[in-house]
Amino acid sequence: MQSPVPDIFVQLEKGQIPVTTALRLLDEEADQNAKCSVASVEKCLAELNELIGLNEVKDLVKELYAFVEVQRRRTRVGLAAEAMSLHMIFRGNPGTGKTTVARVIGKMLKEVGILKKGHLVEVERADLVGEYIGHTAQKTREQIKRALGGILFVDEAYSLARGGEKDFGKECIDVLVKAMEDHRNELVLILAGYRDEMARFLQANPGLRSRFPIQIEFPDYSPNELLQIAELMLKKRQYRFTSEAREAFFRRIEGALRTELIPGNARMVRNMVEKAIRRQALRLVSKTDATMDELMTITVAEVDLL
Amino acid sequence: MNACVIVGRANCGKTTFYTNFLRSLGYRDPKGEACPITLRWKRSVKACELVDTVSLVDGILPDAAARAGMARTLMLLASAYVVIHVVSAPLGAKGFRETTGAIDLLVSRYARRRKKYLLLANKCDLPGARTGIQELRAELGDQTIIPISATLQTGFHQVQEYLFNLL
Repeated sequence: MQSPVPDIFVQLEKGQIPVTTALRLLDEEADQNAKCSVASVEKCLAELNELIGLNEVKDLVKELYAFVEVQRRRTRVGLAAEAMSLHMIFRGNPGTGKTTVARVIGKMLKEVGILKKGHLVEVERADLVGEYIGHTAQKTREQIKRALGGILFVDEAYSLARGGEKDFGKECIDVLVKAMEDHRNELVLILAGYRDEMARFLQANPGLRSRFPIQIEFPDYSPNELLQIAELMLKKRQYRFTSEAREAFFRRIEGALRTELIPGNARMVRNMVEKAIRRQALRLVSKTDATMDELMTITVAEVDLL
Repeated sequence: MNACVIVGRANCGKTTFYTNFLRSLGYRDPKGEACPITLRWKRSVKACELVDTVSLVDGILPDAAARAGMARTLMLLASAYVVIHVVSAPLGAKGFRETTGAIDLLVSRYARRRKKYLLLANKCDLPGARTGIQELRAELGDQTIIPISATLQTGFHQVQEYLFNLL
């Protein structure tokens, strides 16, 4: 929430207004900020809705928002409220929207007043685990400090436990668990990674599982969803497919998923889209009189060359 | 650290509550206007900062230092995580609105909607306190009101539990 206009305090200090007027102004100012905050949450949810697919994830985030908001209202009127442990596990293949969703959740938790900053600090094993005794705790604490007031997003978190008993990854997990308790009001920890590896990781660390009440599954995108993502990416860059190119792109996606055994992910599509844009540029670079329509259109020729 | 800010009008017992509540928590010689505290409930521990403030007085005060103090109180109120609002329970014949005046109503209105809010009806050991608390309840509806006596240190156990749950 934004801080009130300092003018109110200055006017009170200078004797221009009595304290009752200052309190009224403070209340009005807070009302105004609350309206902005509701609008910002709606903006976050709209941003989430813009993502293709991920219907279960979207429902879960909306549930999370409703839960947080109602618990907050309950505590305000003195009713018992559930302790809000918002640490999460994200399970899914790369490019399935985990980081994007984490970013939206950070913004949303800031707007509802749970987190002060709502920023996302994305780390992986190398950022947390050190090379000698004592190094790991120091590195991990540094990242935790950076993330205070926001979200610490540990990508490929299962790798913290891959080195066995003598690996420093265990020390890192202990520091993270301690931080989850010590900074419960200032930090949300998200552990992310492949579905199967994360399941094995949690099984090997039963103490961790109970500390993460929210577990979100990110399914692979279907070929149709990937095509929609590609079209959205093109639209944002002010490009579009011809109908033939669209069909060809769909066939390329299906082919890539089938033959190259790549899980359906948006990152693959982004690379394909960017390659098609470069091919189109190559086609048009020598054509100095290209029309706006031509500059915007990706043809089947570009898609076939992917 | 989350700030729990004690606010109220003059002579409602804010500083007595601040000092004696800290003593009841084991802080032997509380000094200053803010103190980091640790609250224990059952087996859990939570930390916060208890902050005492300058009284809120209506009207334009001629003393610049007093006005600056009130401005600081309002700043602390605006940035508080928990607002501990202290009112004097014995309201006398005039009733809630007349006795507590606009300041308490405005503080209560602001803090109930914006902050985690704890209302303490102080001086409940004095005559007229029971009637006063009834009037407070009638005025503030479903708001939890904890009767205390800051001087006798009664009701502190309930304050500690409630504050712990708010944090």
